[in-house]
Amino acid sequence: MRGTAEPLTVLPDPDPVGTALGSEDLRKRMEAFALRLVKSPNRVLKAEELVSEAFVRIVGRKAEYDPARASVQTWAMSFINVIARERIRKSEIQRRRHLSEDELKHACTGEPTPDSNAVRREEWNRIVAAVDRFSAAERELFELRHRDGRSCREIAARLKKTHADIRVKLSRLKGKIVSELGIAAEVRS
Amino acid sequence: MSDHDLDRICDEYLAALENLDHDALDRLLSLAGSNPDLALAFDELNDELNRLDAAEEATQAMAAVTDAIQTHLPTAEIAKPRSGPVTLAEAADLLFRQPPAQLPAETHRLNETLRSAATAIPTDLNLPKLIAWLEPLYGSAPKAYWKALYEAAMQLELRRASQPEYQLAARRVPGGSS
Repeated sequence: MRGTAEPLTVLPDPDPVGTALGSEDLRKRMEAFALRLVKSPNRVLKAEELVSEAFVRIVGRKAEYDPARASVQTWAMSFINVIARERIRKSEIQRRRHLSEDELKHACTGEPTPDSNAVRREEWNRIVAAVDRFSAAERELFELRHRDGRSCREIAARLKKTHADIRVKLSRLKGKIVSELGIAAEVRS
Repeated sequence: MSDHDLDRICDEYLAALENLDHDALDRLLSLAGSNPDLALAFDELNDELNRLDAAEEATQAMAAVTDAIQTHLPTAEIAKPRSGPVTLAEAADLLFRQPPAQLPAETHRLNETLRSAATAIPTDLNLPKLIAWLEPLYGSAPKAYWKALYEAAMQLELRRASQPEYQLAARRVPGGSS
């Protein structure tokens, strides 16, 4: 039979949440995210529990899902975050000191701080000392980012690494400096 | 979203995970919900963090097992892939773990000394040359000891030489069936 072909119409998935939950890839990504939120022993088991509970809640509330607002994956991770927040003891949460871009840039040069406050000066010295203890490779990475202002994409291309590798390494270097300064006074009660 | 914005948000995400800052995570996940590039970047960060954790856990587990073996089975040998020339320490360590039956008792002290000698054994030495090289450095010892040390060095040398061939033979052919 010959005739004018009608354009194909792609019907929207009537159950995008159910379809996504059936995907192995989503489950793996949810588990990877959940693992990040569990820091206690048996973390793999606890992360699996978080994901299982998230599945139950998502199925129960899938009518509320709005594809215009978020992907199923992001929506699912929000559930895991909520469940983790409910389960983790607040005493475990410690917020660390935030380091400004300006502090990080000056830490590369080691220039003395113009701050006249003695406490700030002492803190400043500890920041510079922490950077001095970096290995040559760590120092290069830290300076490319915070002294030269290169983006992680540029650094990754230059060092032939992935963006994620560079981002995680930089975050951990910052973590080393912050741990020199100790836990900030701001701790959730 | 510029590269620097993406870097800043990824940095906030990593800090939020580190601090278990659920409020910040809510905000960042909500941002990622309307930005596929950001969602992908978060996924990559999760994968990288988990890969690093797995490597760290494997290193710790290996260290614990090695420690337990060395404590409870002092004569057991932990096979590790090595490269470079065989050292005196390695040959002496093999003698410590697999001592020949007729080795004179007085050689054990010398063997202990050699177990910490990182000097590479030249590959072109025969037994007389080995004795001529080591006796001025470590004192005299029964010929049976030097012979056992020489044979241990040869054994390690052969084992090392066969490693690449073994790995080549054992590897999977690209594109071949498993």
